[in-house]
Amino acid sequence: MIEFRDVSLTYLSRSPLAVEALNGLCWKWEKGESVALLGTTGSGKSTLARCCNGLLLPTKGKVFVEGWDTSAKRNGALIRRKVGMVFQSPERQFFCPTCFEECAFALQNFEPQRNVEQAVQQAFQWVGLSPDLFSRSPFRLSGGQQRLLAIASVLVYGPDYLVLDEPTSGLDAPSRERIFHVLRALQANGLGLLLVTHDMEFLPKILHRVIVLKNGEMVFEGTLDQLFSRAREGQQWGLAFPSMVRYSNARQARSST
Amino acid sequence: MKLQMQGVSFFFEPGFPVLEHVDWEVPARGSVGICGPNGCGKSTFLKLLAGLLLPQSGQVLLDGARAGEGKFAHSFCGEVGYVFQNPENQVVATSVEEDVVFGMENLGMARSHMEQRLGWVLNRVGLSGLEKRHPQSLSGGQKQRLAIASVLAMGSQLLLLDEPTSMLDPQGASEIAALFQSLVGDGIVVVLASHQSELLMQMEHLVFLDERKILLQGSPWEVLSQQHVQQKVHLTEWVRYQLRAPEAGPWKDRRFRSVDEVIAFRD
Repeated sequence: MIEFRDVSLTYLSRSPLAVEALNGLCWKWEKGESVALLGTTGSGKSTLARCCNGLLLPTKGKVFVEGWDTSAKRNGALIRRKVGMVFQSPERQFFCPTCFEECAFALQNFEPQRNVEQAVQQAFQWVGLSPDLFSRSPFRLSGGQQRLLAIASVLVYGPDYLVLDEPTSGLDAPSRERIFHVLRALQANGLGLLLVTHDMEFLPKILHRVIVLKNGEMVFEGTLDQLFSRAREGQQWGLAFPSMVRYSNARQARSST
Repeated sequence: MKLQMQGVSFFFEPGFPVLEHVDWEVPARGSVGICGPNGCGKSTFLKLLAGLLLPQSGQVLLDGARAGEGKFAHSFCGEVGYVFQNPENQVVATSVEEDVVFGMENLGMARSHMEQRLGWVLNRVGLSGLEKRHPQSLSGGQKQRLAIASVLAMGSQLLLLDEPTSMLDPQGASEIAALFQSLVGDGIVVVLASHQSELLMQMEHLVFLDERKILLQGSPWEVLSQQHVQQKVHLTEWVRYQLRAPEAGPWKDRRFRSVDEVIAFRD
């Protein structure tokens, strides 16, 4: 379990430019649970996501990953191995000349003695990338392939939790389908998934729970159906429900008056 | 302004062509959406039109002048505006006004002219009053509008935009979509690449790229109704609903309606 205990985080604290990104957040994310994190730009979603594996540390409160305090330096490597993170723009996390090296990099850091070839092959297989791409530059892949390589580069070292920032943005229909199947398989294998997203049409298929942040505070926690039934609050929280949901809600409201 | 591709072929690595023998001309007015699967060459297509990339064969011409030659040696900058997918990559200054002025200074515009254009363009994109703000303190939609303002300030009558809403939250995306409609109303031509079907449906013309060429073009309704296009371009349920039931709603003229328009229509 990942647990946030009264977590606050302020960027540039003690300066005139201080920005409070999280404010007294209490939250638990169980292993094997798939959660969507929603909210407008600036609501604190990315900050919360980065706190999950210690990339950011709270200015107040604590985050625990299976009991390990993220603010203790000695726990850093262990926590990052448990909680993998895939950023929104995969090209920003690539820096190796080939896809193979990119995928092998983190594993080599965690286990320098290990023969990585088999693990990389396995990771490519999980996400459905062909080994023919091993020698290609990650920057020569399509957007969908880059996203899959970024996921493979994290899966290769076997995390228990995976945080994905906007996993479907900029993807075509087949790539969305592929990402969906990969996430379903990971879910079936007991991985915890946290999807930071605006893509609400992608959500219903794989979710257990939705949380909504506004100004660094959690304003909603529940199922997607419960969220969709709260149209007025959704608007106040800056969420745009899928057009079809809004249309159905408007028809229902009209028929009940 | 006449911007055209003639027999354009382009590759990044020999033996792996991205586009082959493409002929296309940007319409004199209106809006165009470029769509297609990942890796089909949408961004390359836009960069070729902007003169930022040069084809290995064929040519890109702006009013008869060839990209890569003379005053267009580096790009069609000043005539054709290019807005990157992530506005963060395009914002260079420490205040909104400095950012807008940056491109104009590089083009050597007179100070009085720059001041006049600065006021006009910030008003045009709805950023008046934010002149002194640091760009990093703006919302995603405001940053994208700033990037568009900086390009418009240089006098571009044609805007090329690569995935202009993919990094934005829904509020920011709808601000940008509304801005496009109003710019087109002012006679500015908007050409954008996107995966977002509700944005594509608001364009006047669509170009579907696949297999290294333009496979199909026409109205959004014509293009996105095609089954082979639907296999490659993700359509929201709302778009599918309208395409499936063309006679059932206010879209029977085969013009896409946003959900807000439909709800208002029924009310």
